[in-house]
This record gives sequence, C-alpha cells and structure tokens, in this order.
Amino acid sequence: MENYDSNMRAAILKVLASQRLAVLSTVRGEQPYASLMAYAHTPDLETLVVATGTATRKFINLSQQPRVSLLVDTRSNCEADFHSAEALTIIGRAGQVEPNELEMLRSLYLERHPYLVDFLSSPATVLIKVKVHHYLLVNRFQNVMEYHPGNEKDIFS
Amino acid sequence: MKRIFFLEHEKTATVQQVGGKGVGLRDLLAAGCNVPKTVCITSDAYDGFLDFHGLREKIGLVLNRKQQQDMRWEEIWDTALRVKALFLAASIPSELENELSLFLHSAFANSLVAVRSSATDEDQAAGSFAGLHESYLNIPCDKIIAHIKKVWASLWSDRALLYRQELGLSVETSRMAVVVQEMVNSDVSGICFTHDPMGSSHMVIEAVYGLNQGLVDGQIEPDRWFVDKADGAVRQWIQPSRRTKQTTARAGVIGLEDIPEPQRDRPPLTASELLQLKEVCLRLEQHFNQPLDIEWTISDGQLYLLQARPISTLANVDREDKRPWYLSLHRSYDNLVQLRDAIEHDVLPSMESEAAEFAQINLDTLDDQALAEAIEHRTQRNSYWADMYWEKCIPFAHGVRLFGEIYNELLTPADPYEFVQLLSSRKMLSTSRNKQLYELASLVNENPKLKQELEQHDGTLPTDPLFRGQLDDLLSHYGFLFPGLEEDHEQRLLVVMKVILEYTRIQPAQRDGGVARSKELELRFLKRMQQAEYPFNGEDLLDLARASYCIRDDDNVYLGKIELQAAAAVNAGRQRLVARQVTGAEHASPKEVAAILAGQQQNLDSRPRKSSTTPKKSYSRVTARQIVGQPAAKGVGHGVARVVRELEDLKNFQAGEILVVDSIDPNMTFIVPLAAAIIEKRGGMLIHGAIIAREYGIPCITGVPDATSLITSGDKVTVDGYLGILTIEKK
Repeated sequence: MENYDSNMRAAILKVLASQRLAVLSTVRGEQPYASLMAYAHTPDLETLVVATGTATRKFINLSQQPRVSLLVDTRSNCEADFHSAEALTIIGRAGQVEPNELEMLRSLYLERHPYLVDFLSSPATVLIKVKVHHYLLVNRFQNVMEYHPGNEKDIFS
Repeated sequence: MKRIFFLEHEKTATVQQVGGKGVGLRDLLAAGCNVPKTVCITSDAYDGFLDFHGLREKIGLVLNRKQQQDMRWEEIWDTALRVKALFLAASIPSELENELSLFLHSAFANSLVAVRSSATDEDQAAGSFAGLHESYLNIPCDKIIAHIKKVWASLWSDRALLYRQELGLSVETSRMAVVVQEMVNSDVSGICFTHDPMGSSHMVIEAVYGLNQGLVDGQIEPDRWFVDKADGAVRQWIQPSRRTKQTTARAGVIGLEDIPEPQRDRPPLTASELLQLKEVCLRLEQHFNQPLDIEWTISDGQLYLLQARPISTLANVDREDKRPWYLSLHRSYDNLVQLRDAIEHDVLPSMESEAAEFAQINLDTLDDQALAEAIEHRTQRNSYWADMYWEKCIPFAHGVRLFGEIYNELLTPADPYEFVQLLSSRKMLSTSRNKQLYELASLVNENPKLKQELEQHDGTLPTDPLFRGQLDDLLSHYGFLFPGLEEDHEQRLLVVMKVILEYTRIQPAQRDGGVARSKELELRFLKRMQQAEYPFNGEDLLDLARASYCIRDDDNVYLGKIELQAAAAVNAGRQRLVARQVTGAEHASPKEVAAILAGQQQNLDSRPRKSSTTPKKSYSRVTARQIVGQPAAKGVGHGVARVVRELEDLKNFQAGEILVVDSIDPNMTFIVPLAAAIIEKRGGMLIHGAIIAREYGIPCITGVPDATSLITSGDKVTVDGYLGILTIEKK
C-alpha cells in the first residue's frame, strides 16, 4: 500500500510539474464555467494556488460556490496523446489566503510564474488557494486512480 | 522519395530507408559479393500504409494498455496478435499497391522469392536479437504484397515486444523496410561466424543440406567446423548425431525432407568449398573491420551471400526472465501432434491411474513407517508430474496459438479472438463437473423439503437417497470441491451443500452466440484452408487446436488429483503428530512430517511457522476508480465484489457476486457459473479463467494489475468485458 502511495504521489507531482496552466471549473447556479489558469502547488500536494482579477466571472462564481475542479494534462495535441497523455482532475475547495500564509503562497506562485509579477502585484488581483480533497489521475487512456493527499475525511463537510 | 528499388542501384541507401538487413546487403554488393537479385521496399512504404489507415495510434493504444514489464508472456502474445490483426485487416492503399506490384512483376515475374524483414532499429544492439521479425521463403510473385504486410506487422512480433525497451521499439520512430530476394535453389546452406561467439580464436562454419531455414530454427543440427583463420586448417569438425533431414521448397511449400541415402554419410561441404567460404568471409571481416555473422548458400557450385551482420552479444537482458522461454515455444504442427499423442495416451491416463491407486489406500491403516514412505513417495510423484506438465502440457498449449495465427491470417476477422469460438466443442472436465452441480441443484429446487433441509444449516446432511447418490457420484468422480481444506468429511460435505444451494439460485448457462455461429465459422475456416498451402489440412489442425484448448484446462484437473492425494498423506501424517502433541505439527513440511514418523527426527525446530496469508490491512490514500485490463469474455456484469485470496474465501461465495482473484485455479472453476463477472490479475486470453468464462458467457477481464489489492470484498464493481475496463465504487 505504501508503494501505491509513493508511486501515485510521484506520478501526480510529475504531471503538476510538467505544466503551467490548468483548466479551472467553477459554477454559477447550475451552470459550469471553465477558465484557463496559471497555477502552483505545495510539495505536500494539499494546496494549489491560482490568481485572478476580482472583477472576473470566475472570482464571482468562487465567492458564491467555493467547490471547484481543475484539470491539468500532458497532451501535446498529437495522435499519440491517446495512449501517452495523462490527465489529472483535482477536486477541492477554493478559499481566501490567510495573512500568515500569504507570503509563502505568493512566493510559490511567483517562483513558478515569475513573468506574472506585475499581474500579481495589482490591487485588483487576488491570490486564491485551493484545498485539495482528492486527485484523479487518468493514464493509459482509461486507467483512473484516486489519491487523497490529506488525512481529513471530507473537507466539504 | 522512392519506395521500391533494386538495391544494387542505390548505393547510398540508409538504414532509415532500407533497414539493418538492407544496409548489410548494400555493403555486400559494394564489396563485390555474389548476392541474389534483391529489391528493397523502403520504410516510407510502411509509414504510408500506417498513416493511410491511422494505424499508428491504434497500435499505440494496444501496446500501452499495461506496462510491458508487468506483462506475462501470454499477454505479450495477445498484444502481438492484436497488433498483427490490425495490419492484416487493413489493405495496402491502391496507389502504393500499384507501384509495388508493377515493380515486383517486372523484377520477379516468374521466380520465387524470399520476403525478409529489415527493421530500421536493427543496428548493432538489435543484431543480438536475431529472429525477432518474420521472413517468408519461396513466395510466388503474386503473393509478395500480402507477405509484405505480414513482415510489416512482425515489427511488433511477440519476441520484439518482449525486448521493446532494449530495442527502443516505439510507435513514433520504429519502421520496417522489406527486402525481397530471389530464391536460390540451395544445395547446401549455412552460417559463418568470422569470430567464434563462444570465445575461441577460430572461425566457425555451420552447414546443412538444403535451405538454411532448418538450421536457423534449430530443427536441423549442422556440421560445424572450427577453421584456423591464419592458415585455413580445420582445427575441429563436429558432425551432427545424424544427417537425415533437409529443408526444401517443393511445390510452394517449405518443409523437411529426407536427405537421399548416399549424401547422409557425406558432410555438406567439401574441403575446397570450406576453404572458399573461409576466404570470402575473412575478406568481408577485413572489409567491414568487425566480426560478422554471414548467411550463405551454394547452388550449382555457386556461392551466394544472403546476409551479413555484426556479431554482438546479448547485453542488458534479464537472464532470470522466463518469458523468452515461453515465447520460444513455437511448435511445429508435427511436434504438436507428437505431444498430443504423449499427453492423451500416456501422461493423463498415467496421472489418472496413479491418483486412483493412491486413493485406494486407506492411510489410517498404515503404520508410521509406511505412512512416512507414502508421504515421501507421493511428494516425489507430485513433483515428477509437475515436471511432466511443464515439459509436455505447457508446450502443447501452443496448439491453440498455431491455430489462432493461421485462422487470423486466412480470415482476418474483426475480432482477433474469434477463433476461440471454434475451440470449445469438446467436453471439458470442469464444465462436466459443474453440470453435475446444476443437476444436484435442480433436484433441490424440485424438492421443497430437501431445500428446507439444506437451508437450515443445522450441521446435518440431507437424507434424500437420490440426492445423496448423485452427490457421492460427483465426489467420487471429481474429488472434494475444495482440495487442501483441512476439515473432516462431514464438514466438507456441508460446504459442498452450501455451494449446491448457491447453484439453486442461478439458471444453467446457455452458451452465448450458439452452436450455429461456430459451425458457420468452422465451415468458412475449412474452406479457406483448402485453398491455402499448408502441409496439413484444416480438419486436423482444428482437431489439434481443440485438444490443445481442452487439455489446457483438463491437465490441471488431473494434476490436481495427484496433488490432492499427496496432500491427503501429508495431512494424515500431521494429524497423527498433532494427536501426539508434537508442537508446530500443523504447519510442518511434508519432509518433516515423514522424518518424524519414520523416527529420523524427534521434534520440529522452533522457527516461526507460516500462518495466515491474509494481507495486513493498512490505510492508503490511493483508491482505484477505473482499471484497464484485457477483455477476455464479452458482456457487462455488475455486482458486489468477492475477493478470493484463499480457498476459505470460496466457501462464502454467493451467486451474483463478482469474482476477483489472482488466478483461477482449475480446481476452483465450480464457482465460475455463480459469478456475475470475473476479474483476474493473471493476464492472457487463453488462461483457465478466460476459457471457462467464455464457456458460460460470463464477462471476464484478465491481466488487471493488483486486482486483489485494489478491490475489496463488498465494493460495487462494473465489469465491461467488451473493452476490458472495470469501474469500482468503494463500499
């Protein structure tokens, strides 16, 4: 079992490290809404961090319904993607960054995306953390494994 | 880019265009050697074919269902069979076919040719893996194109897939060129190693009468000379034990023939021919500046060189890996016929009678010494029969493989496992046993009083004489359903009652698809066999394949009977020791039990004994949601999983559950009709679980990595036997 855990962690970290952008899904009422976002992740896999303008549709959506899903994948838009691409679906809850963690998450984000420093510095931009409930890693076309990074049973409860 | 040309006209052809063999021949021509007329179909033609049909990604998907290092040999064979089926089912684009056809007709209108593989990955390293890809001899001009496709497919042969990593075989970059060479009417053929691969400083020349095929396949033992490179003197000449057969090509068929009497006493090469070979090969070694492995043939006194490649040694190959041994078990039709005879007339009847003899002996009446001897004797016999099983029964399973390959080549079915539908017409022991269980269950269903008795579970056995009679009959024919479970006779019978009660809840299986469909397929196959050129007929091949398919299941049942008798003696011994309060006797090995009974040992040593095999449960953050295996029997099944790790777990199996198991032991196939679907960790289309699942039309997925760890009894599972995908909803 420990072996599964470490293999799965390594596989997830590999996918997260290989990409810069994720598709973030939010909802408004019953309508899903997908957006492309730059992201960074904590090494313990428990938190992802994204940034957005406070006037954006996604930010408004998040303020009303913090449950989110993100998709990160390794496709390269070629035929071989069908057997070789991996997709990582992340299920979690978006939340405000607390003052005591702001510096750490901000550095994490900028380390990954140094070119976004101006964007992040704008008073109209807000850093959002996503507490991960679980990951779903899809590879070999249809193989799906689930990984729970945290010990808590349900962050939604 | 040219897709076909005479090799002698393209002096700058690259390995990427004409492959390793093509480049070797290009160099032989450049060195002025006598090479038969040779045409190359470049790897661009292969690429064009793949792109036209979008085959590249289809192959990618087949190959990447599972990590290659986790595959059993049967799964590698399955994968190769599926890839080959993709090639066979796709036609060569007409524009390419016209181009090839025009050229080939102008080159070889009235001749027979060899169609040889020449992979672009075949560099120094790959040269070590000779025989990975297919070559076809003696092909008439109008059949060359069909064989080109088979050669292309062989880029993905089972042997090539086994060494996929070492070869760097990849869907994106690996390609196959084809060399078409005019057949030479060979009188003598052979191989020359300009440097002894076994280490001596001499050159090694091997020669056989006729074509090289028998020598390359290992079917014919050659004459072997060790020649001093300096002075050409023969330092050693090893003659074969007999020189009776040669490979010939007659009437379009390659086969073994008797060597005419006067030639048998003569080595295939004269002293002057040996000298000529030595000189030519040495000159080539100097020309290429490296040791070579050169294939040659002599026709009407004329020496031709067929190919030359660098000698290299196997590196980075896991010597402990048993899969190459399995994959090497390609058996000829004749060899399979001999094996069948031995198995049907000797091995299985002998096992049966030996098990029956053992069963006659009342172990309780034996004194300690006699029981110790019985334990030793039965343990020895058990391992003897297990060896026999490996030697005869496992290779005979390749009868199915031979049939499947020929069936697919002749009929190119959309489902590469369609051929299995033709194989199940013979009665299998396991299905006969299950039929008796159905009959017992229907007796129970017809008799409410009997059913009530069974359902009461009060530890008593039903008294109904008809039922008891049939039950005794079942047990005497097939033994106890749970061999190895150490319970007294009464308890064992109660367990069987439980199984029968579960059988009352299911309908007898109707074979999916029906007999009419398999009869139709059979007729179609036999008709195509009549038009094909094989040295055996369709009826005989089908009969052989059916025997192979059936024995594959039955042989284990026979072996199980011997194991059961060996276990009975050991258990009897253990019980005596337990009664005498010998500490640890319950887990003593057969050898220890025998030694104590015979007075050669007083006590068991105090090392810790193996106890329960149930794995420890530990919390994991990982759960499986959907796992991909191989679709082994069609259909969709949905139900609650029952993970079976040991025989004990079988006792609780209920009708309608999903059976999750490492591997279905033929002795446990009585549970199969009760299952809504089967998930097996062991992979392969022709393993027992898959065979029996298809017999009952139960969806089955095999080769599911870690199935018994990732699934827990009680999980809700959906089994898609069409795609080989199972979806898990955790309890």
